[in-house]
Amino acid sequence: MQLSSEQFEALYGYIEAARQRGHSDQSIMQALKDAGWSDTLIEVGFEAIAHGHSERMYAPMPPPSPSVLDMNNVGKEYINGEEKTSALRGIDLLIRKGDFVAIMGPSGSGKSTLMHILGLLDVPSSGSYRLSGEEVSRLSSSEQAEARNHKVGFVFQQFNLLPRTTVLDNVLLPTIYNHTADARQRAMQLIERVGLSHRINHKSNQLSGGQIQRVAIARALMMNPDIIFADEPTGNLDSKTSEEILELFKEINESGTTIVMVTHEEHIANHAKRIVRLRDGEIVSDKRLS
Amino acid sequence: MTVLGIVIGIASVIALISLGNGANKMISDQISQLGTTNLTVMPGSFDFSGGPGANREQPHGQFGPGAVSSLTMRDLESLQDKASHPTFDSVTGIITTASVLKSDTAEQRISVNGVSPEYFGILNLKISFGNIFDQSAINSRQKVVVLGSKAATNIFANANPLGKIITINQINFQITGVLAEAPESRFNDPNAQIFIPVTTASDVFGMSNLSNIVVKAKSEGDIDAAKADIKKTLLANHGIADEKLADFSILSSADLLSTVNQITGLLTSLLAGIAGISLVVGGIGIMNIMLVAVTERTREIGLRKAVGAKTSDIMIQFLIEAVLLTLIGGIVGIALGYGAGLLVAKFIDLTPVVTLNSLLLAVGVSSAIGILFGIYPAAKAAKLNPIDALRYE
Repeated sequence: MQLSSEQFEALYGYIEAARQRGHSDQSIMQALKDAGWSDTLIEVGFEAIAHGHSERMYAPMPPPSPSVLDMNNVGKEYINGEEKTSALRGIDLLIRKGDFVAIMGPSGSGKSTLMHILGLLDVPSSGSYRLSGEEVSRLSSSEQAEARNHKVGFVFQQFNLLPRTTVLDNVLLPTIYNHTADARQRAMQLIERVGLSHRINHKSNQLSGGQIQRVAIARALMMNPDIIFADEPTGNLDSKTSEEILELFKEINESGTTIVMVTHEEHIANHAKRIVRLRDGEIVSDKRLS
Repeated sequence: MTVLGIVIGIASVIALISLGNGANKMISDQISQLGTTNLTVMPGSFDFSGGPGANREQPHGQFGPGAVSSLTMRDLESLQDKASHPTFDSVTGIITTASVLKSDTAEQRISVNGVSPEYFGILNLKISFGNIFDQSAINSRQKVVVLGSKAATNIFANANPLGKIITINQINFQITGVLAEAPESRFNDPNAQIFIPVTTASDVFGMSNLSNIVVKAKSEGDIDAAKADIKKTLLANHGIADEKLADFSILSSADLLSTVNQITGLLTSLLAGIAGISLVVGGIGIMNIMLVAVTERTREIGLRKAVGAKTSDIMIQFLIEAVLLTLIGGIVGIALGYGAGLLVAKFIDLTPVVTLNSLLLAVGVSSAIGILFGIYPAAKAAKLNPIDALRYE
């Protein structure tokens, strides 16, 4: 009896997967027999795999995305007179382009400190931090400011916008410190993308909480940053608006922007693709959500 | 509104400077009216051009009772010799005194000028009707008199005074002319004076020497040469070898002008300086306002830094805001000061003069105050740590 190639592929796939899950060859053979596979076919299946036919069968693994954020053994210490307090210890964190990472932890876990270092608002005491391949752990404050301008976008929990300033001018804020051509056009496109074209000339005090966060997101995207840092972005919003904002984050992430979000709420964190948990200044878990 | 301090400060400075300029101009114009090419020779030695001299006599040729002038008729004749004084256009000698004038109807004390005919030309006094006496009247010491326009109307009202007789110092004089109205200055009102030949004056009043001599130089460029010439001639006549011991002074309009400039300049600067104190107060007010603003905008500064503003960016931003504040105050102050000057001018007879220099000064000073008093708050803003600033409640 001839099997179709699809059927063979299914067989090989089953055996490979079962092996990866830690099942022994014996138990795999038994399971196949029980499913109705003949001994000969089962033998063929195993042999083919042994001869490396598996390469043919699976679509080639896509090369891993370039890493956007690479922290290696980062530590942060504060010196208070005689005492040295360590806020972060041995942080290893690798984030690839397109990822959506939630950082969680109780207060005192160091997640704010980590966020500040990640966002180039602070420098680590030790270790290396590369952002898009560039080492940024020892930058001067004006170099940091420059890097913040075009590598990073921020969405804070509150007070994201300049008071008494229009939506458009708020989105254009980063361009004051780094003139870009066609800034207005890009700003208007981003405002449309976050769904606020009809409010483009409204002043910040005329906007609702959700609308403010949308403007902040548009501004964060203005300079086409490598990564967006959101610090409890839905902390001040009601649940419905929170959902809307998180949906917006997901959309943006889907179109390729890497997002790192700090939150202390589990259900918010679950909107991300990966959760990194901190406790007492160390990473205690780093799990991808399926 | 602490900008008010700046406004008031600049306003007072502008008002004072423009009034000072106006006073200066007014006096300068009147000095110019005396003739920019005229050199006045006076008895006594004092130095107008540099400040008070060693010998303080009364200015303007009226010397003290009993004193004899050092300027003689001979001096006048030496200077009148046109051939030896190429830079001179004309020369006149003057005897000034006061006397009692009597007419049919009136009696009054009046200022009498004994002059030579060139006097009228040098001082630009025109005849209205009748004649000015000529050199022959001088030579023959005629008792004729020319009246100033106001003097004529004071004595004769609307009647024609020509040919009439009046007594001066109890001696009869015939009126031969009346002058047209001439511009009066603070120093001198020719309209209220009368004029007789200088020789006659010498006889009638028993004064052998002259109150002063006026030499009109050919042009402004000849003034210095003419001055030197007069000095040389008179020193020779008086037999004085050392220039420093001269018993006369030569005064040009330029000398007077420079003294006036010095005095008004000093006064104006002093007053403006006092007004400047309110500018300092204003500046301190600006500094306080900016400090409060920095505190209120702490989160905004944190946000700007997070988005890429460097320390220098924040510093420049706040400095510009401070300068704008003071500049606006300065501009309002300029307008206010100009208005205040105009207002004062209504009460004092003075036209304020706003020069480009004073405007530039006001603008410059306002900006400087903005920068000076804005530096501290701007630096505070710039040094804020973004993390702390973002967390500020």
